Amino acid sequence: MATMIISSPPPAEDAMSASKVLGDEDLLGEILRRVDSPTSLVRAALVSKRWLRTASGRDLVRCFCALHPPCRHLLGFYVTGDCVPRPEFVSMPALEPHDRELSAVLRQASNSVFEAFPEYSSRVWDSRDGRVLFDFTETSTEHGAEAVLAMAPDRIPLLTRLASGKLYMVAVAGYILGLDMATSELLRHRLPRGRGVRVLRQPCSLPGRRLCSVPHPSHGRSALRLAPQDRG
Amino acid sequence: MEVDKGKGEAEETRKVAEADRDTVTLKSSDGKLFEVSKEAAARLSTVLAGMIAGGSIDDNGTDLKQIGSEALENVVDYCNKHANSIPSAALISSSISFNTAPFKEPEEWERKFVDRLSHDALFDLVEAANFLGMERLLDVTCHKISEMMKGKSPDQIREVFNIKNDYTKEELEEIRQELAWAFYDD
Repeated sequence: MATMIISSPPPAEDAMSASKVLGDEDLLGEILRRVDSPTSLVRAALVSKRWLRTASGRDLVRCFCALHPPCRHLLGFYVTGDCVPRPEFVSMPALEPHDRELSAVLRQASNSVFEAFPEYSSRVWDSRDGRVLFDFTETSTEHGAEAVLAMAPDRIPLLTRLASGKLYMVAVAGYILGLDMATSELLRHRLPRGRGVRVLRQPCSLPGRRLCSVPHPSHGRSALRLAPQDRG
Repeated sequence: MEVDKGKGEAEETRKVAEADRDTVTLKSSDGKLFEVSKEAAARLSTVLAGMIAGGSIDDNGTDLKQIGSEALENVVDYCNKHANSIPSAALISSSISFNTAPFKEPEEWERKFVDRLSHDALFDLVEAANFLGMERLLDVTCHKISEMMKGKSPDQIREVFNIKNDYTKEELEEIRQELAWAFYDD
C-alpha cells in the first residue's frame, strides 16, 4: 500500500549554495569528518540516507577515529551490597564536564539502567573491556522484609563520598570503608566515638558494601574489582 | 649616512614596486576584476600555482567562470590576510603538513574571517576553495560548517541546511536505538 508523502516546499533560491556543496559527496565528507564529537557524527548521519552513507565511509570513519581517540579514564565506581536494591554510582570528579559522550555514559551509569527495570533488584557483576555486566533479579516478595524507615528514602543521605582522592563509604555498623584511588589500597576506619560524634543505632539491615570499578566503555584493560571483606 | 638612508629607502621602494608587479588579476564569473599577490595565490591555491607556472595567467584578468564576484572577493581577501598574518617559512612547513595532519584548528583570524560570512557566502567560498585547490581555506570553511551542527538534533540540522528527510519513521527509530548513546540527552 503506497502512501503519498507531501514533501516540504522546494528549497528557496538562497539555499542553492548550500545544496550544491552538500550535494557533493567529497565536500560533504570534508564537512562531516570535522564535526566535534562522535555524537554529532551520529546525529548528522540521521539527517538523510545519503549523509549516513557519507558518514559511514571507511576513510571518513578511520580519519574520525584518529581525531577522536577513545578516552581511557576510569569513570567511577558502583557501590553494591547485598541489601542495596540499586548500585550507587560514584563518578570520578575530574571528568571533563563538556564531554557529551562521557556525561551521557555517566547519566546512564547512575540511573537509566536501573530505571528501565524498576521491578528488579540489580547488581553489578563485573566490568571489563568497556562493558558492565548487570544482574537483574526479580524481587521476590517471599524473601522480602518490611522496615519502617526513619525518614523518607529520598532524605536518607548518600552513604558514599569521594574526597581527596579517596572513596569513603559507610559499611556495616561501626566502621567506614575507604579506597585510596592512587594506590588502590583499601582503608578501614572505625567510626569515631566521643565528643561531637553521634553514632546512630544502625539497623541490622544496613548493607555490607562492595566496590566495582566502572571503566570507560572504550577502556581496553580488564577492570579493577574489589570486594573487601566488609563484615568485621 | 646619507647614502645609507637613501639605500634603505630605495630598498623600500623596490620592495613596493616588486609587490606591485607581483600580483595576478582574477576575473569573476560576472566580470569583476580582483588583484591578489602572486606569491600568496601560488602558495595557497594549487590551481593558481599551476596556472602561474604554466604561464596561463592573463594580465587583463584570468577568467574564473565558476566563481562569483562575492566568493572571489573573499578568496582574494583570505589570500591577502594569510600573506600578512603568518611568516611564509612557517606557512610553507604548515602547508606541507596538510597531507599528513588530518586537520589543523583554524587560527583566530581565520575564525573571524569565516564568522563574518553569511550562510550562502560561506558555502560559495567552500565551492571556490575546492575549485581553486585551496586546501587550507577548504579546511577552515568546512570546519565552520561542521560547527553549525554542534549540539543539534538531526531535525535541526535538516532545518539549518534545508535537507529532506528520506528515512521512514521505523528506520530512524531503528538507528536511534542502535546508537542510543548519541541521544541520551534528548
